[in-house]
Amino acid sequence: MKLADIIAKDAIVADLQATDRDGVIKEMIDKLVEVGKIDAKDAPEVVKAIVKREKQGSTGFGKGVAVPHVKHEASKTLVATIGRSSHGVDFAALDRAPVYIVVLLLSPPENPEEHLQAMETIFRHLQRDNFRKFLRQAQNVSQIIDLVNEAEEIPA
Amino acid sequence: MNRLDGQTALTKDESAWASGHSIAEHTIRKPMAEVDTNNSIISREVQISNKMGLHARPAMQFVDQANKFTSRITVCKNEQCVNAKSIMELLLLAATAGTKLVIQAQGDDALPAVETLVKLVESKFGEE
Repeated sequence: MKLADIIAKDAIVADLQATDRDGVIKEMIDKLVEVGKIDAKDAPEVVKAIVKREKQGSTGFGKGVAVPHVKHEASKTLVATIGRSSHGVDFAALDRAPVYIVVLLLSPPENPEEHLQAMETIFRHLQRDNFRKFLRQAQNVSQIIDLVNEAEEIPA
Repeated sequence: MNRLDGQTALTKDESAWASGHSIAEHTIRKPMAEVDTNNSIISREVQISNKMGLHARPAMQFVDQANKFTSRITVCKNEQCVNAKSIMELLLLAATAGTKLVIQAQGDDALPAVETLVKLVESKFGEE
């Protein structure tokens, strides 16, 4: 599985406006609605489910990244998007540091294997210092898309 | 014990040498024994049996438990081995239901560490 295959590139948010966790989740879900990845009527439920999931345990796994995710009927196919915050957001991260890169993942409930593969793909890249650094430095959506497309070639 | 019994039969000179030797041996052997204890590697295979596999929430439980021990703990799926105390690394295993993992620990509390983690996996992390 490649990062470019799971990121909905038209749903990337290069400069998140929201300043808190729940706001960021809503902003990214709204974007997925806008590009037709999920139905508008399902959006509030999906946001609620992701927030609930965050409350059970933060997906701010450290190093300035968070990967909020949920398995939900509203998502017909696995889809992810990237949000970048220039000011940093409190995600109650494990290392208590603010989060600058959010990768939000939605997957259909009936395919846990695919969900785990997607998580593997996401973390394989987020683990790499250069990938995180380049993402944080990205100025606009097209730079982030380039990064996603070239993710496999970026040196660690 | 046999060696000590043998020592009593040594001549004075030999005895002096032996005791010196024994001290030297002692000083060498004792730390070696400690190193041995620290280095003993405990390893167990366990199968992921909850339907959802080792996704973020169970992985977090796993990391929380692993961090209660001082031993170095690794989890391997086939040839891929990761640090059991890192959530990001654990998620890199993409350990789906049915995956066989080898949990390996090295250190003072290696045995309880491995036992605890195996039990956690076998409990299906409280899931189906």
